[in-house]
Amino acid sequence: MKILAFDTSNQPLTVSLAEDNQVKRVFSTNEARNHSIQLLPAIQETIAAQNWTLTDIDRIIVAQGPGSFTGLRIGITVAKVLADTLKIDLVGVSSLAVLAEQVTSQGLIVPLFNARNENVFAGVYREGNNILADAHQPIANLFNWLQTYDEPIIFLGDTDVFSALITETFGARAHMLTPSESLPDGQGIVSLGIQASPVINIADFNPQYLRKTQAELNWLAAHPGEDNPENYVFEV
Amino acid sequence: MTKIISFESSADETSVAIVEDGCTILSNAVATQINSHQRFGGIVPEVASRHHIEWITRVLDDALQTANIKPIELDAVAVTYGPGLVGSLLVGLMGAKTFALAHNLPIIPVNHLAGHIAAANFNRPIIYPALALMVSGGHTELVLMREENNFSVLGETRDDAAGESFDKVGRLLKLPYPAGKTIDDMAHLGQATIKFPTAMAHEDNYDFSFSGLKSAVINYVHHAEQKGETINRNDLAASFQNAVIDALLGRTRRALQDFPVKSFVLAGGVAANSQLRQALAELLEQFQNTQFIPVPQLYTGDNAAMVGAAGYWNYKKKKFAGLDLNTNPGLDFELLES
Ligand SMILES: Nc1ncnc2c1ncn2[C@@H]1O[C@H](COP(=O)(O)OP(=O)(O)OP(=O)(O)O)[C@@H](O)[C@H]1O
Ligand SMILES: [Mg+2]
Repeated sequence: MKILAFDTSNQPLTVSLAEDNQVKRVFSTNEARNHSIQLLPAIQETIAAQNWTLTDIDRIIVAQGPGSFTGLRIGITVAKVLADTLKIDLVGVSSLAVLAEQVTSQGLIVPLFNARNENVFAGVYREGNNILADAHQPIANLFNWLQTYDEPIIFLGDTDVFSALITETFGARAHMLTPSESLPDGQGIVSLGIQASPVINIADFNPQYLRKTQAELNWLAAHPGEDNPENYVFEV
Repeated sequence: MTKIISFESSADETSVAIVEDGCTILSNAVATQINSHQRFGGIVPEVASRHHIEWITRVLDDALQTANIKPIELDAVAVTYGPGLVGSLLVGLMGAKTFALAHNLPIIPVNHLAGHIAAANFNRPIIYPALALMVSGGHTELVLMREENNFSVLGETRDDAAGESFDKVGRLLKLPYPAGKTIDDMAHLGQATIKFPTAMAHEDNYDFSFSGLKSAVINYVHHAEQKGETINRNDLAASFQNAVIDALLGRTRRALQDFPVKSFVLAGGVAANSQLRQALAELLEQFQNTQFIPVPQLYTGDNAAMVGAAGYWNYKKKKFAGLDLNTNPGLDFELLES
């Protein structure tokens, strides 16, 4: 099975090609350039360098979130349209699980993305299992939950912002990978995506934002019971 | 025969169309988010972006199915890359570029405003030189086209766009968003009994201003409320709409006098307004050498067919873009150099 995988959920951009679980080629950059400019040339060039064509691809794996809303939409629009128009299987994987997958440890693994105002997108993983579901949450809540365990913890992702807090809270029990040590390596996404079954309905495949917009939250609070998502968009 | 598939997602419509030779619409699938944004009284950009990605493959599939066209039969992919909301534009842009990569097709970047104007070709072919009055939710401008695909702005609004003023007055009257169509209907039932100011009527340029009119309407309503008077809402709508149309007509007349053109295009969402169409048709009777070509009412609002029409102009000139094409949310036409 030939696989095209990509992750645009945060500043790093990773495109990888694999034959089953064997990664053949990885393109990755952590430059703060627009994914909208870079992603398709990167896909095109990586596939050409491997002497493959797009039509050879049997499965597309994309990081589905959480992450930057715009970054997610760039990757997922590409994944949806490619899968739809070339009839390729499509699989989405958690962007946090991708990072957790890259770490070998028997303890707790906590990938996290900074969501500002002392909030994070984070989940807790142990040996491949997501034991605290990926969520948008105050960092304090995550820490409270982690304090009910006494295993070693590895933090990765946007650790720089929270490193003082992590050391203060968990002391020697916590280890941290720096952001540059936490870049998606192109392998984790493949290992995860190869096990999953493809989505049935490509149109219904969308980013896992894990967060409603503020406008929706405000509206829902003011209009309890009136939410009617089926009615919001229609074809004319 | 050149068949172009086109993508439009600059605001709150997700649309894919297939157009032949820039004038024959084979399909035009449009998903509108109007019911969603009505909750908020206007477009919420992040909500719009989320809806676009939910609908992009649906409208793509529909456009191909309705036209009964296979990707192999297509010649190019056209896409709106600006102006508009960046998050909204991105979904259509990435979708279009991906489709182009998948099927090895050239990418044609299209200015959304050129798209609105090109939709006149669905009525009858624009003859050049031409003048266009482009009136929409975000723009109000007089555009000179010396030849096909050549645009210079003679004048534009200094504050609100015409459509925006309809929407703001609509909010004042607690009408659902966007209010243009509702005010148009109300105006039919009312009389233009209230005299509102027509801004800048005497200034020596082609610019517009609608914020003074909006303030006058707000003052009128507040004043009536304070005195406990009931207002005739239909009369208010008719009076407001009259003032907008007066302003548009005055500047258009001046431009037509100064720039004798072979055709005059009315384009943009506000071009759906029945009284505006009527008033301009009458004005154009005084310009015997100028053909009046309003965009057909069905294609005045945002849609991908118009992007396919404008895309064809670029296609003929081989104005293509690479896979690194990015959005340009602030894209605009050049001003006429004087
Ligand atoms: N019958 C009508 N009379 C007056 N205004 C109308 C009518 N129908 C629609 N409109 C107005 O047209 C506007 C929408 O037009 P359009 O979709 O072209 O704008 P947009 O795409 O948001 O802005 P732009 O094209 O400048 O980027 C709204 O402001 C709406 O109120
Ligand atoms: Mg528009």
